[in-house]
Amino acid sequence: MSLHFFHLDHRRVVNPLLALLVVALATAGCQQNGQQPVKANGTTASTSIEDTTEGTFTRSTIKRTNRLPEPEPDTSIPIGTADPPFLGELPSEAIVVNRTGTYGGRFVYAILGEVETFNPIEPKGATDQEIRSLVFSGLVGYSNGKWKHEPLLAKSWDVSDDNLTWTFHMREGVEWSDGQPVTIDDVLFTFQAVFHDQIATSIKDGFKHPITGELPQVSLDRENNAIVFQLARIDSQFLTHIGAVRIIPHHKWKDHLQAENPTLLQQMTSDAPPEDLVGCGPFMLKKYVPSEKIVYQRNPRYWKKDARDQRLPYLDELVILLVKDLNLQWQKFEAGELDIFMDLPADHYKEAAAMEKSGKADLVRLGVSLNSNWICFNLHPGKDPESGEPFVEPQKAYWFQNLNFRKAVNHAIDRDGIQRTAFQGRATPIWSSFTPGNRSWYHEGVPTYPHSTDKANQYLDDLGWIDSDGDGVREDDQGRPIRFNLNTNVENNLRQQIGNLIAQDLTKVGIQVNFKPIIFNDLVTSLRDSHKWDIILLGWGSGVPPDPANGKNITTSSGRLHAWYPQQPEPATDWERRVDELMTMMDEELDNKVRKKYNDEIQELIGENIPILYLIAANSYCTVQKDRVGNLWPSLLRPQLTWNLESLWIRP
Amino acid sequence: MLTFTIRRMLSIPPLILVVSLLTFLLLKTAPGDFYSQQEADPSRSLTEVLRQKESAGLLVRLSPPELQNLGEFSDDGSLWSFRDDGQKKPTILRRLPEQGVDESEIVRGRLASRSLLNFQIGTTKYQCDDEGVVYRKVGPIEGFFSWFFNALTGDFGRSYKFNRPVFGIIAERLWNTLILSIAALAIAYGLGVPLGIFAAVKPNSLADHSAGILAFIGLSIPTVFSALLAVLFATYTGLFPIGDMRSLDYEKLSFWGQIGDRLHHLFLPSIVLGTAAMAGYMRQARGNMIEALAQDYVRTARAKGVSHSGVLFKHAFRNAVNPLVTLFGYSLASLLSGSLLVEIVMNWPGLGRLVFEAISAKDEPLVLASVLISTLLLVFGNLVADLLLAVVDPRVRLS
Repeated sequence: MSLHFFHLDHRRVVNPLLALLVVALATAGCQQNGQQPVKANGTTASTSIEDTTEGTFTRSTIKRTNRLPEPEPDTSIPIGTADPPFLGELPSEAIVVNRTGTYGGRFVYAILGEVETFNPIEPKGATDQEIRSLVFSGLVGYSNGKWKHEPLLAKSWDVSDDNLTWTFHMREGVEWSDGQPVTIDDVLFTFQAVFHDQIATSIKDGFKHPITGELPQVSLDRENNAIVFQLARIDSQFLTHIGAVRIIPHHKWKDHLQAENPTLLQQMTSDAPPEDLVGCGPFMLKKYVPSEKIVYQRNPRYWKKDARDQRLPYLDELVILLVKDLNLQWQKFEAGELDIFMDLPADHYKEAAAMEKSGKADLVRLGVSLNSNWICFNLHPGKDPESGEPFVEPQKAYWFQNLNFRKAVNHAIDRDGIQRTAFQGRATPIWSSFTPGNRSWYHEGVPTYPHSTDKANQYLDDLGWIDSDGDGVREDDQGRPIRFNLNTNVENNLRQQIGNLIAQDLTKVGIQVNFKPIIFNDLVTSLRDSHKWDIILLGWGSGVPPDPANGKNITTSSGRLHAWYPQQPEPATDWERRVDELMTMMDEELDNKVRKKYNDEIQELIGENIPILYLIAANSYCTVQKDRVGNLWPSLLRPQLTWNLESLWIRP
Repeated sequence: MLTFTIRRMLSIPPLILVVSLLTFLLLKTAPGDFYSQQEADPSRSLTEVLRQKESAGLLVRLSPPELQNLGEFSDDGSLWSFRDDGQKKPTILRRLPEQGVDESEIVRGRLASRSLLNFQIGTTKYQCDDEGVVYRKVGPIEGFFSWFFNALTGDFGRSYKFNRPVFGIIAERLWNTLILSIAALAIAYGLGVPLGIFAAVKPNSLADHSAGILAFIGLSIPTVFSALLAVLFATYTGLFPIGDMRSLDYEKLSFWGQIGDRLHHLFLPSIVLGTAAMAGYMRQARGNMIEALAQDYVRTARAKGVSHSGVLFKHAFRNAVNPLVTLFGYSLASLLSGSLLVEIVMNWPGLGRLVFEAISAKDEPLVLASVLISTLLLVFGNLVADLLLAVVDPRVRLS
């Protein structure tokens, strides 16, 4: 699991600012309901998706294995005819996908975002990242079903013994959608674009050396038809970074990569004609109507085939509706206009369950989401350069810096209460940013602080912070009443509920909390720049792949989003120094087993020192129209159902 | 009338200057900017975000000589300066006199950037990225005038979000919003005015009260709510489409099929918008009519034996219509923005949604362009109303 975005729930307030952000908090579901196995796939080959959570409701011990079974091929289903038909030859090195399906049909789903650009060199919003993988393809892909990287345009790759030279062997015979061959020159061209000094793109970030900012050297090995990357340091995330780069055709865009003021990013914008988008992904853009829909058709030269040697994709047409309002999206799903509904918001859980009961749709229970909710203490020791005032008032800093005080607060919070009240049971208490849903990085050994008002009182009494004047609020040993502010973002209803519950819990142990939801931008500004806050309630979303390296900006002490004390010139504490070390070690280690050990230690260190208290993670759900879509392979990782669109098919 | 029109037109440029300046300053006073979201995204590096801000014109990169000219400044308790060694990047020097160290030491870009993230010399603010590249923040006034002078040459900037010229983006959605607003306006006037007259003929009758109740219902139900009700109605009856402006297979329909499809989709949203606006026109029409019908000339006309309808439409209505014409001018201005909520709830691909999102995302060029259009519409709407008034009422002279 990784810490990817600040994410908040923009399901109620239609706020495009948040379009960037992943929305998951509102997705909540129910683990009591797990008795019936859920058929989300419904092919005759019994590819049902079993609910892995147990039928008996066991609080906070949800089973970790949320792996949903891979759909199996069924040779009895008809092949059908592809319209438009396939063109060109299937390359000899075509990838074989172990699926079967019938050609034809139109697949319709809706997203909240808006197309900002079709240019894969500068994917901006979450929407762009999702849609660019339809038209474009990278060297390496990621399977949300298997949680691992797999070959795409590169048929294989190898790493030198010093782990610094990566060689990607190009798949031969692949063609662009306009019929030209895809060559290593296209790959080189694309990387030259991404690494171009004057092209600002987030894709470049990952490739940079963390200290020097140096980029890898790219060269071609024409003899072996391979691309070679020479790295300046070992990078455990190199495959992920490579996977983020979608290859664009050299023959189409070579004139737009000038040395000075390249015009490449002004190409393939949202008003580009569809024929400009020459790619080698499974689909081609057919039509884009702003604010309404994006229509794709099959790329007739796609280079994957199925278990019966039939070419992919199965779908004739793919329509993504741009619906900005979640309620309307839900209505459209309920009316059968949409084939799937991903990231089911908690508001619609009951309706989805009812649809399941009446046999109209399948509710897919994906398990505990990878997104965490937390509260964080402001431990910033600095002063405002203008006024000379400390960021945190001295008495508050005195409390927050006290580990036993933080432990008392942690014990005072009733996570089970939050689970029952705010989430109607469809959530799981957590003690680390890696929720039980993250089967690769979840660590059971993280210290826990179970709810106990007695323990919390004990800690506070031992500190000598007692209620001496009988007003219900404790005073510290210098007689200052313990009261502070708790902020969260006003846009998120669920988080407001959590905040209220926490404030109540803390009142019970004599700590007075003023809970004040404020707008997200203010919150981020105070978190990052002004540092004028006491305690903040927010959440981390998750990236794909859910690797701890994505959280570098959060975990390392110099990170911009090291929430409790960001951008430390030097690690403020010994344990943060150790965390920094471990993060670097993890960065430069390719063996995930070793990396897991490092990451476990990081989680334990944070869990022992609790500058940030992880609270709860919602359960994740999606719904599918009954018996309509074949080969679905739901995943906790986003996009939950549409990551393998090339092998989905519509039942006639 | 021509001089009047010209005079009105001459007032437009200063008005636009002031309106756009105010809009710009208001956008700048709220915290954060378009890129705040990206800066809050742990997966992005500050370096790339700042580069994007640079290409958007929010930051200006300083060259080594310019940095050297900044001289020595203090930040975070240390004294900093830059030295131009003819390299691509300047050497960053730090002095710590407070700790008794008076010797300047060279600091690596990455380390320096942690202390120098945001610093200020005088009133000018600077920002430094992870690699020690220093940018100057463009102040609101400077930013406004650089936008303004570009605008004078016809370049209204590119949207930060879409990386495209702003008017292209607006044009894509403008027509959609106009269709909806005009349909709503037609319903509002087409129903409101006759109902108002009808109510005014027999004031305090049952018909009048029923019309009044209808008007108050229309006034008091928020459009969001009635839009939601309309969506529910569509879902449960299946008589109307659930949101959208046209159906998925629109392209495959015949010409008349396309028109029918559009009308089908237009019906609910325009009713929702139209009935909300109708109430106001109806009350206005009723009030004016009652007043006009009580005038002496109406009594005179009746005494002369003018027919009932003649009295109503030739004498009373023509006198009662003036305020409605003025209202019409204002309603032109709200054509583009009035349908925002309905557009969101019913997924109408219009301009309101785009502009609303641009405002909350602080996509400044897009906001400014749409404010310009709305201002122009308001001015022209008023002009049209005044001209119309002169046409319908001979007593009004424009000079």
